[in-house]
Amino acid sequence: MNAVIESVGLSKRYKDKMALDHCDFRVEAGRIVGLIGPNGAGKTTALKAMLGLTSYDGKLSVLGLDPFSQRHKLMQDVCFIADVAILPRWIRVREAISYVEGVHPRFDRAKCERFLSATQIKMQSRVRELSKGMIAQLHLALVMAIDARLLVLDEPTLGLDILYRRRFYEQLLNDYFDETRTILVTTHQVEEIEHILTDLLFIKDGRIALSATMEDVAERYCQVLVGSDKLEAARAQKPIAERKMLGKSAFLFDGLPRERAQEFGEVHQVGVADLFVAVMGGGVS
Amino acid sequence: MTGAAKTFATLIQREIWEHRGGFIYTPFVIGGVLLVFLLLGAGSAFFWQLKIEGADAMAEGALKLAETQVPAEKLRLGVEAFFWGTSMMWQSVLFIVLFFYFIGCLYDDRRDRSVLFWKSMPVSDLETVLSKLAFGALVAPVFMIVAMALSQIVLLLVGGLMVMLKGASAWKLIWAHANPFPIWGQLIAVQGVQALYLLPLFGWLMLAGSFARGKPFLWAVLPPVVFAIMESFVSFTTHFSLSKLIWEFILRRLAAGTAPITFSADIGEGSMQAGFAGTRFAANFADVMARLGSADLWIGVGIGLAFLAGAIWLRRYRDESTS
Repeated sequence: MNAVIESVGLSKRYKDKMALDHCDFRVEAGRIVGLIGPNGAGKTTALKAMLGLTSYDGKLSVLGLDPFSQRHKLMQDVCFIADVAILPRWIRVREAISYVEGVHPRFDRAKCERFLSATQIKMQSRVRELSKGMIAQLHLALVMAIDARLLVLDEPTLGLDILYRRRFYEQLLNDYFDETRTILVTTHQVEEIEHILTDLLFIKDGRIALSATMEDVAERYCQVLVGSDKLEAARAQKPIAERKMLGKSAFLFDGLPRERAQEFGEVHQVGVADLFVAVMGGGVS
Repeated sequence: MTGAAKTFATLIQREIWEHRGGFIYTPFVIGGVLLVFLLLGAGSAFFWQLKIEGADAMAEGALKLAETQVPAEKLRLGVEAFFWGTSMMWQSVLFIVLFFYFIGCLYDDRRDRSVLFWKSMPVSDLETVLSKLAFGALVAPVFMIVAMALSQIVLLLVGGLMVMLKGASAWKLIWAHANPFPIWGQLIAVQGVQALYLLPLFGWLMLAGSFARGKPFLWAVLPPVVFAIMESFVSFTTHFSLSKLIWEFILRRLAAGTAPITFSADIGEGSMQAGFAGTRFAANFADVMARLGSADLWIGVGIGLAFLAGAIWLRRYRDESTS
C-alpha cells in the first residue's frame, strides 16, 4: 500500500526550541489516525508542515508531493479544518458554497446542500450569526462535499457541546469516510474519538512517542485489575502505569502475554486516554 | 470557463461579497447626500420667499431671463461643470476607500484567522493577491463610476423638475446641454491610467498589510515618512537632493489619487474652475493620459511590482503560527 503521508527525520526549530525533533512516521491510505499529544508537543506544527503552511527540515511527502513547495497542487486533494470558527465571519452560507464551488474542481454542491438541509443553518445567514456548533457543521458540510483523499482536522470540535461533537464524528464516519480516504485528527477529547480511530500517533516534546494501529495497541497493551493480595507480584512484571480504581489497582502492562496477565486479575482492553497518560507520564507515577 | 478563469472570477466575486458596503453602497450614499443638499437648497429658498416679498417672482424672472439671454454655450459649460464638480466627491471618496481596502485586504483575514480557511482551498497566493489588486484597481473604480453616473442622472432630473416648478423650461436650461457620456468615458479611461500610476502606492499598502502582525495602518504610513525624513537629513548634509525626487514621487501620487482628473472652463470674464483645478495637483484628461508616456509612471510600475512580489512572497511563505 502507498503511504499517504511519509516522514523521515521531520524537524522544525523555532528559535531556541525544537517543535519537531526527527519525527519518523507513515500514514497509510484508508486510515483514521489520531495525532495525540499534550499542548505544545508539536501537533499543530506537524499538521502545518503536512499542509505546507510552514517550512521544515527532513523529508516529508504527502500524497507523493512536497507540501511546502507543491502546496497549491496538494490542496486539490487535501482538505483541512484548522480550528473551529475560522470561517470568515462576514460571509453568507450561500456565498461560502458558491466560493468553494468556484475554486474547487472536486466540490459537489448538491451533496453540500443535502448535508446542510439536515441542519438549522439557513442559506442567507452570515457566519457571524451562527453558533459555534453550526459553524463547525457548515465547515464540515463544505469539506465533506469535496472529494479529497486526505482530510486533516485540528481540534475540529473544540468548544462545542457534546451533542455537536458526537454528531460531527458520526457524520464524518457515516457520510464521508471510506477506504480511499484518509483522515488525520487531533483532539483533546480522546475518549470521544477512540472508537473511530484505526491508528494512534502519540507525540511528546516534538518526538513520536508511539505509532501503532489500534489492533497493535490491543495486542500489546492490557489493563489488569489487580486484587490487593497480588500487588507485589504484579509490580514485578514492570507495569507502565498503576492507579487506584474502585478499591482495586489498575495496572497497565506493555507486552505482557494475556495468559500471564490473567493470573493477576481481570484483564481489560486499555483505553486510549489511559494509554496516553501512561506513555506521556513517563512510567509509574 | 477554464479552471483558472473560473477561479479568478470567483475570487473577484469574493471581494465584492466582502466589500459590498465600501464600494457599492458608498457611491449611492454620496449620491443621496448630494440629493439631500439639492432639496435642502430648494427648500430653504421656499422658506425665504415667504419672508421676502417678490422673491418668487424674482427667481422666476431670473430663470426666464436665463432662458432667453444666456448663450447655449455657457449653459453647456455650466452643466458640464456640474458633472465634473460632483465627480470630485466620488473620486476622492474612492481613493480613501481604496487606501484602507489595500491596507486591510491581506491583513484582516490573518487577524481573524480565516486565512486558514482561504488557504485550505486550491488557490495559489499569486492568484489571491492579483485578484485583490484587480478588484481594487479596476473593478471597484468601474462600480464607483457607474453608481456615480446613475446618481448624476437623478440629480439632473430633480434639478430640472425644480426649474420646471418655477415655470422655466428644464429642457432649454439644463437637459438639452447634458452630454455626460464623454465625461464618464474619460473618467473610466483615467481609472486605467490611475491603476498604473498608483501601482507603487497600492503595492506598498498590500505589502505593509501582509507584513504587519498588528497595526497595519502604522506599518503602511510610518516607514515611508521615517524614510523620507532620514533621507532629507542625509540630503541636507551632503547636498545630494534625492529626497526631493522621493517626496515628489510620493506626494504627487497621494494628491493624484484624491483628484485624478478635473476640469476648468472659461466662463464669462474670469476662469471658472471646478474642484482642485488650478492647484498644482490638478490634472485634466490630456495630462493624465500623457502620464502613460512618462518615465515616472513606468518606474513607479516597476516599484509597485516589486512591492507586490514581496506581498505574494509573505503571503506564501510567512509562517502564521503564533499559537
